[in-house]
Amino acid sequence: MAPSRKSVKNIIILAIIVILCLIIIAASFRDSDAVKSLRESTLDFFKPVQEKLYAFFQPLIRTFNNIKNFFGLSSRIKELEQENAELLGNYSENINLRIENDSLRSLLEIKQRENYKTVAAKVIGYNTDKWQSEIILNVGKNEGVLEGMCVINEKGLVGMVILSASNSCNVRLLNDPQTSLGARILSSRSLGMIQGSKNNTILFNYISKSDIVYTGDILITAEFGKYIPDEILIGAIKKVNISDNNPYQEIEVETFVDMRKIENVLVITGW
Amino acid sequence: MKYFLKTIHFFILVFFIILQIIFGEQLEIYYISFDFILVVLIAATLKDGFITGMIFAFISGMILDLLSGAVVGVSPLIFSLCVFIIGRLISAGLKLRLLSYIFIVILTTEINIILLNIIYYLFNFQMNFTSVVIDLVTKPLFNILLVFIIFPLFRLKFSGEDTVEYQFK
Repeated sequence: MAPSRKSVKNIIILAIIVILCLIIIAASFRDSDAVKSLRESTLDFFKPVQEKLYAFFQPLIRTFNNIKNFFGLSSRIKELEQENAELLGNYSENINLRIENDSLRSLLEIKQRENYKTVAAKVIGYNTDKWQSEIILNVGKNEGVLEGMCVINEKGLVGMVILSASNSCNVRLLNDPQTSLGARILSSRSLGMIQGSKNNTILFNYISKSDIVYTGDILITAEFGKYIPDEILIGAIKKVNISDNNPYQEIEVETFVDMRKIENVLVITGW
Repeated sequence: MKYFLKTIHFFILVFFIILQIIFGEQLEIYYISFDFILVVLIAATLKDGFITGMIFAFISGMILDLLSGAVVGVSPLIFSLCVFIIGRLISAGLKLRLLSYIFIVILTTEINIILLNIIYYLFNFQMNFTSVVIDLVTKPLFNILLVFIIFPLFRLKFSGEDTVEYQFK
């Protein structure tokens, strides 16, 4: 008799937890304020420990990365030498263009683009699986970081802040399936939509078949974002595919930022 | 003493939750996917009993979901189901020894992956079958390796029957 009573008790406990979880899932889907404030409090509560542990394990993570990089070192050197040669070729041309640009700006009295107001941040956590791709930063509302602000590093756009707690924030990376962002092709100015996908690849959608798109074309942010400035580098077009049953071109993008090796970033708080 | 040990076990669990968030992504670069939390939960359930296991499962799932930005409630649901299954296995007469541990880890990891994918699929997320199959094959193997690191922290013996105060026995 006793074991069966114990078994019933366990089933009741499980049933209570299952019901509780279903209620929480429903609340989470409804974007309830309670869940949001709970998220913020949890982020703030764990931030000090997370930061310390991340700093402690950072050398180990770097060692892993270095071992991986070591095997591709010779081909990487060749790539960089080639890139360097190309950049040197473009250098003098760019100086001339800059001088020309400055003089035209002064003639037309167009104000020079100002630098962004930024907050430096460190990554203290990653969360990437088949359904999401996010990082946790060590800055939050106290540093002026708000939801919707964009995060960059030296190579280009990293993602957007989706939840800001007092001292930390969650950032949705560009390759997250829920990412959706206006972007332009730098050369043709064609406007489309950047979207992440389940395979952690980036897609550039809504470009009609009549638009000419080349592999290697550079994508930049569009000018419609409230918190995202225009002309931030996103990536280069990797693959273009045209199929009969899709009115748009299927464009795959390779981001300039390696989403798996982000350590230090800047959050743009104003411009 | 019993409650003191449970508190220590809880802190070990929290440590591994944070480690999962810090290391999870980094290790996936090398196609290594550990589930620290699940293995700690198995150890805690075996050592501290069903109810403690259930409470730990709920709390750790909530912390993971809240920190990671996932749909809140999915992880506690799955972890609790896994703990329930462990409880059923033990009450069915499974002995506490290395082979049993490996069996439990394989079974719960597979159930965890399948349930997680089904739940997300039902919530209209796209599913990649290839990656699910890869997970089903590789994750239990890596989790078995974790048994040798995590179980000693909970003073679970690998040889012979453990005489812990398991509440099912």
